[in-house]
Order: sequence, then structure tokens, then C-alpha cells
Amino acid sequence: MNRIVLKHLAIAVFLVLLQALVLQYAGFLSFVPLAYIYAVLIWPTDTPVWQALLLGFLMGLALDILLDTPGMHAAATTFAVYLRRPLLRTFLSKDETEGMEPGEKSMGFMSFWKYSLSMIVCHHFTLYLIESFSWTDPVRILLSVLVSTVLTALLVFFFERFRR
Amino acid sequence: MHSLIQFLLRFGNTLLFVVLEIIALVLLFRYNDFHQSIALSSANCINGRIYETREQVTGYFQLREKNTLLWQQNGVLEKRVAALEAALRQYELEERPLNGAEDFDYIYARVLKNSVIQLANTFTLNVGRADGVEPGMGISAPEGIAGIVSACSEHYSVAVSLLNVNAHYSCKVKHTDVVGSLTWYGGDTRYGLLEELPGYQMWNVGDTIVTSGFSNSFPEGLPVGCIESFDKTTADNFYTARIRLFTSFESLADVRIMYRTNYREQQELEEEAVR
Repeated sequence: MNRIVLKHLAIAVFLVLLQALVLQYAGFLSFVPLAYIYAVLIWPTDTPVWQALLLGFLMGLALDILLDTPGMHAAATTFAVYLRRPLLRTFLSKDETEGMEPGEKSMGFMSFWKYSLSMIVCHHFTLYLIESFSWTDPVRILLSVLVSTVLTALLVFFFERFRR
Repeated sequence: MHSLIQFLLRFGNTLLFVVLEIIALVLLFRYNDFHQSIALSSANCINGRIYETREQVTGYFQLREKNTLLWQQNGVLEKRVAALEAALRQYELEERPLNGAEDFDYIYARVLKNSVIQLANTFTLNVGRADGVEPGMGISAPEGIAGIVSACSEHYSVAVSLLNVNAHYSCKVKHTDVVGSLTWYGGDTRYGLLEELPGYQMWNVGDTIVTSGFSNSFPEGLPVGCIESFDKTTADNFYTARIRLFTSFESLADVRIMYRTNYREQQELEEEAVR
């Protein structure tokens, strides 16, 4: 295991614990920031897809166990990880995607935020859709996705300021 | 063989994705089975430790409010004790036998982890099987009822919160026999719905709602909430009332788990009857 792998594992563990112990209680009404998805956003672009899928699934499962939610976070995070590569390809040219950590500095402000926001929306949408099981209250789902996306984006913005 | 490897190289990642999603969805749809197994819930010992540590920090945050509340409640209870003692003296004077004594007892617990923002909310307690807790026991907070124990490990338990769209509680209007089914539909944590209320004008806005005592989990007459407004359902003659819940679920901290002192006897009897 090299240092980059260790660093990203540490970030994943930290963000999962932050989510379960702090953010889950720091919501606005019943909407919460789901900032653990930031760990997925910044994995190096040359991470093998199977590794990313497994790690994303495990992060989600860890949260499900901590929060007593059955498979919800696991399903949503795995889905977001699966969309990662196609989304990166959409917002970056082929030679830009090789071996770098996505971030405002490495990708440029606009590209990073287009990529991040699409990832966040996909993740949150899947999560809230699964939570409500059926399409009983589409307004509630959309409102939850919208407010949570804003909250998550604020935190991602904050994390990016502290990144070297 | 060659073509299999080719296939895996090409679609391996998608295959892995599909397999992982299926695992997640199996967890989702067979939740109750897994939930009973507690390994995948917050009642397992690692999670219990993590949340116990967290609670040691956050437990201090609302001490002042909790203290005031307990102080006020203490006053109310002292008054009741005085009244009951007076009544008891009366009974003793008349030498009448006193029956119908309270057959419920309490296990005191602290909430380690609590959620209010999902549709199916749960909370975790710092007591388990070793302390005598068993699934099905009712839980009350200082202000009113809070939920029902759903799974126990040796030292921790998980409870289904009253704020859970899958849970129903049998409740009635205080001092009457008007019974309804209390449930929660997500969103505002301060309100629940009491459904299937008969419409005989035997109740009014502002009336207090208490537990009916029809389930094994709660004794009769525990406070739940009060009627805020009501609606007539179109299909039948029943009413649905909006209930302002007494328990403040955002700051759930100290709770009591209730059990019938003859719980085991009753359970054995019921099991025998099924056989």
C-alpha cells in the first residue's frame, strides 16, 4: 500500500465517521449534508474501477450499519461511483483525465464543479428515492435532493479551501 | 475460456456494479430479517462503543433543559404521591383490599444514537439483554412515549422510534374509550396522525391522547400528545386527527423501558396457546 492509497482510505474513514456522528445531526429541518461523497469525488482518476466500486460500496455499507439504514447508502454510493468515470470523461478531455486527483486546482473551477454537482445530485437523488421506496411524495424527494445538494456543495466548497 | 476472459475484461466492472447493487437491494428489501440479526445494526458492539463515546460528549449539551424538565416533573409527581397517599390512607381506614396495582416495572436507559430525519427512524440504547431488555418492550421519555425495542444485543438495543412510518400505536382519548391508531408520515417531528377515530363527538380539539393499554408494550394511560386539528376521511365515517406529540424527539436522552412484571408468564402462556 502506498501513501496515496492510505491517504484516501483515511479520508474515507474520517468522512464516514463525520457523517454518522456530526453531520447527521447538523441538518436544516429534515435535510442533511451528505458530505462523505467528497471522498469519492477526489479519488485519483487512474483508480481501477473495481477498486473504486468496492470501496464506495464498503463506505456506504459502513454508514448503513452506523445509521441503521438498510443498504440505502451502499446502493446510492455504488451508483455514484459507477457514474464517476463517464462523468469525468464528459467534463474533461481524454489526456486531462490521466492520473490526477480531481479538484478545483487540477481540473479548473468550472469543470470540477460541473463534475461534482452532477455526482452529488445523482447520489442524493438515488438515496432519497430509495428511502421513500415508492414515488409517494415526489415533492418531498425533490425538495430533499435540492436542499441536501446545496448543503453538501457548501461543505465540498469548504473542504476544497483547505486542500493543498 | 478465452472468450470468458475477454468478456470479464470488457464487462467485469459493470458486472461488479450490478452484483454490489443487488447486495444493497437485498439488504433493503429483507431489512427486517437483517435487523433482527443485529450484526448489521447499531446494536453491534463496535457501533455501540462508537456511539457510547459520542454520547459521553454530546450528553452534556442539554443538561440544563433536561434538569428543568425533570425538576418540573418531579413536582407533578410529588403532588400525585401526596394525593395517592391520602387515598391510600382512606382505603386503609375502610379496610378495603387494594387491587389493580401497577404491574409494570422500569429499566432506565440512555439514548446513544438517535435519528429523526429519515422516514423509518430508530434509536440506540445503552442497555441490552444482560439488563433484561427484550424486543417488544415499550419505551417512554420524560414527556411521553418514544418507541418500542426492536432488537437487543448483550449490552445494547435498537428501538423503532415513534417517528417511523411503519409503526402503529394503539392510543385513546384520555378519560374515554375512543381508540385510534397513531402513526407518523414523515416530515415534521412534532406531529403524528391518529387514524380511525370514530366520530361521535366524544372528543375535541385540545384533548389529551394516551396509550390504550391494548398492546403488551405500554400500560394504559401514558401521555402521547394532544389533538391539534382533525379531518374526516372521505371513504368511511372515521376521523383522522393531527396530534402534537409531547415527546421532543430531537433531544431524546433519558428514557425508561417498560416491562410487565409477569411478562414471561404471559408470553409462555401465549406460546402454549399457539401450540
